[in-house]
Amino acid sequence: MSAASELAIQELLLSGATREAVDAFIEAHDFPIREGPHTTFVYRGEATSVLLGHWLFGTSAAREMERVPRSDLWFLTLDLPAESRVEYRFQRVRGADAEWILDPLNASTVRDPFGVWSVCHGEGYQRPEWTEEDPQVGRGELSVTHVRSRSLGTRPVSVYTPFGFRNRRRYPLLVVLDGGDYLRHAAFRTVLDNLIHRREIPPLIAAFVTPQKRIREYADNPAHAEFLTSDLVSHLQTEFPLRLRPDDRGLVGAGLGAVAALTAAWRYPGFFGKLLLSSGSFTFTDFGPSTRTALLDPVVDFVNAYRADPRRVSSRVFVSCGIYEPLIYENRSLVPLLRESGMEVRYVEAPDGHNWENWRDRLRVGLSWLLPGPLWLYYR
Amino acid sequence: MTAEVPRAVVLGPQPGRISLGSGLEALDVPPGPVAAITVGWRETEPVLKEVEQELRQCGRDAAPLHIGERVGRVFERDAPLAEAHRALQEGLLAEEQLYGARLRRAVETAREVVRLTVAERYRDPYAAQAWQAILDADRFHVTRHAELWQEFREAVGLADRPAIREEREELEGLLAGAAAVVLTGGHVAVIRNRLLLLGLADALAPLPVLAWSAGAMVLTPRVVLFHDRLPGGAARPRFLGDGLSLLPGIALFPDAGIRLDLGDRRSLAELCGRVHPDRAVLLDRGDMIRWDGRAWSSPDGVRVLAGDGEVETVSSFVPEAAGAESLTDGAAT
Repeated sequence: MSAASELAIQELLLSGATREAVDAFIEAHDFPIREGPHTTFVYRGEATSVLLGHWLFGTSAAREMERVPRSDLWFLTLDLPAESRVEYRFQRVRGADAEWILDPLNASTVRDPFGVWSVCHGEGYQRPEWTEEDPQVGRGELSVTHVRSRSLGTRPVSVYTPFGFRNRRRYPLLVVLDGGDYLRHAAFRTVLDNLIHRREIPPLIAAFVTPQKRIREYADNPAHAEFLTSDLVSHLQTEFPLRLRPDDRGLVGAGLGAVAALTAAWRYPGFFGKLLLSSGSFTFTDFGPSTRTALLDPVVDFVNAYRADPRRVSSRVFVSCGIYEPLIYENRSLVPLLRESGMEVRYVEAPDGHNWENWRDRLRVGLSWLLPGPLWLYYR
Repeated sequence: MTAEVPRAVVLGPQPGRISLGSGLEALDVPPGPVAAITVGWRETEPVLKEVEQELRQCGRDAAPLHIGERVGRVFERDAPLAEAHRALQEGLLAEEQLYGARLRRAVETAREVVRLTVAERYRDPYAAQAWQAILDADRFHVTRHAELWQEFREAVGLADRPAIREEREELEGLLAGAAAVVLTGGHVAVIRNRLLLLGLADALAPLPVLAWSAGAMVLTPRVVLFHDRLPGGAARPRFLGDGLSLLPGIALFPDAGIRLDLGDRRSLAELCGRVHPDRAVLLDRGDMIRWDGRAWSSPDGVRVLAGDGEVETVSSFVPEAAGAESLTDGAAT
């Protein structure tokens, strides 16, 4: 591990950073530069100032980068915990103009519903192999069914059936909120294929549901809870061979989707035996009004009500959150309440942010804990 | 050597390519086809083809029993039996959940009692009671599991149902003409369930056995499920139920190096105590142990759990349940 004084950027500074030296520096390294726990972000280009912004912290929390004297090179060294993942952009300021841009020196990017981001991995992080397609693994199928709902209208729902699906067998059901994004950005289908193949989860049917008016539907909306527990599951039961026990029924959500999952379970306790809640936006107030947008007032009201009267709504709840998220406080606050209610709770923190790859990387431990497969019954 | 128990060879896990040559050689099987029981996780798995190929290379014909397909046929022919069997599975699942809840509390209590910093003379009586509660939970579950099966057998008249009887008679014919039987790894609950349903214990008993992993576990007195390294968290070892007791005096732990936390001596000591009077035998790839009708042995030593949770290697041992003392207990090789 390098001492800070031995970092590549420090050597450049000591050498005087001529144009030729900067050219050679850029040529010689991959960016950001990882040296033990130290990560140096580098931007080259004319600017008044350059800031490094992690997605969730936005402009106000952006860290100002330092200019290498008499050069167009900017840098910032941070210590990132081992195995961490950070999504970021640079804010390049030129006079009165400020623009968020990808890191031109880093080809590693990730896409989410809000756009494309540069990705930096701390020492030791590797994308889990079970999130990647494996040609040896049988692929499940996705089909679309249309669910009619009195309150929400007709909704298309993508349904995953596992490799080797048979109509004569009965399968557990996983309902995935923000399903389209989970499929696009969190490789959910591939994850299911791989975990089923490894026997870490049982062959199951998953329904990927996408909201039309996300904030309205997901912020403790009784119509949405009714849609999930009545319209959707009834419809799926007529079309697919599902097991009927609540413990064979799981609900998955991230961010506001996690709120929608917990509120549905709260309104229909015992209906979903398993909940997977990733980085839930469980905003609450101990006193006074919320400073969040009024659209989220129902969320605050719900979480405040749950804090006052924690109830058992499922049998098992898996909660995860990234330690770089401001929501870590809300999630840490929720976990003891869930446990107090008598539910079996597993809580996992990850050195990551509020993003789909964080939620993807937690799926293995979450799903295999909630719906354990036959791996422990299989002796090769 | 007594003739009451068949000679048997238990192999370590067979990941990747199956290898039967050394096992067959050790068994010294007389001429004739070798019956193969391969039902497991998925019928689509090409295990049977591999077994057939291996046997062919050893100059043997395979007599596949196809017990998975046979049970499928039975259920197609006999819908009331299929329904009763489904109800049995639901009952067994409920029993398993109840056992799990009881066992979890019992283990937590036993560990908490031992952790308390109080004088031994006060603590020990409670520790003994807490330990007994774990054994009681195990014993009660194994008994209840067997009772549920027995209730099912009696309620449906299992042995006399034509669909079952015809398949069993065919299987008994195949086994009677076989020189030995091979049982492969796979889904231990599925293999056990199929063997119990078809009532094959008596027909298997006279044959030399070559088995590994799940296929061997179902032949021991009690089947123990275990995995300390599941991605969703370690699963506390628990009994699935009685086995067929054709391999006496042992509880098998295949892939021990992968599935057990061998550094956790307290848990291993508990495991050793829970399977008593059977010996907890650890098996990994390349291992092979033999049963000669009196004792278990291996030229490379048999790895067993000791009472303090240590793994020790003994050259042979006689099952305690058989009423004899171990020949070389504690004699590390």
